[in-house]
Amino acid sequence: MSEKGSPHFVVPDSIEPVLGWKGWTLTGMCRLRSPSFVTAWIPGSPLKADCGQAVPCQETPGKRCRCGIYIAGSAYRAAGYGYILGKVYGWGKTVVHETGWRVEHAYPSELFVPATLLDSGALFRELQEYGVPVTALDDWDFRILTTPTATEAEWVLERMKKWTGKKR
Amino acid sequence: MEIGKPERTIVIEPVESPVPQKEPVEAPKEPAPVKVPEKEPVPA
Repeated sequence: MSEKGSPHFVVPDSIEPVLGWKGWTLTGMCRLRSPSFVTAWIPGSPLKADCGQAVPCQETPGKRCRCGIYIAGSAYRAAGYGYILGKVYGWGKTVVHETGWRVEHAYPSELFVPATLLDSGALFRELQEYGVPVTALDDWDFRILTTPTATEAEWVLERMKKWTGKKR
Repeated sequence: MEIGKPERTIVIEPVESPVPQKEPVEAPKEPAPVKVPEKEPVPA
């Protein structure tokens, strides 16, 4: 966070972090792992976005680049990117998208894990290291959580129509 | 992750860190010093 009075101080547009959804897999050390990268989310410290390009952006998320930490606006959009779902805070430089955000810093605020994975209890203890609530979900709960809203379903249909239109 | 087209860029500076802070572990309290009763002078 930039200090007031420092040459890098920018007047923020908001003091409320965005709250969206993300899907994760796990590393061998039972740490959350971003779906598209090898990045592990370390308990107790926010993840900072890193531009993976050969010539990295000066600031992440970049305007021309698609780098940044992706956060979806709903559980439905995040599902399918990992078997662990969670609410996640995002802040810092933030690019607002139609149905989500690309942010500079992020940290989970709540985790939802398939009940079958939590059977042993060891994973539950590891995930508690993040200091946020961890909830076990059975298949039925998971489906309810990730069901698209009517607007989302409409949006998907529109996208499919455009996509099939392009293919013809 | 599909999040649609970019619309605008903003800067968010939360007042409080969204990362939960671990509560400091309290140091065990030292037992109160035991008062040794002063010896009463023995009458001569």
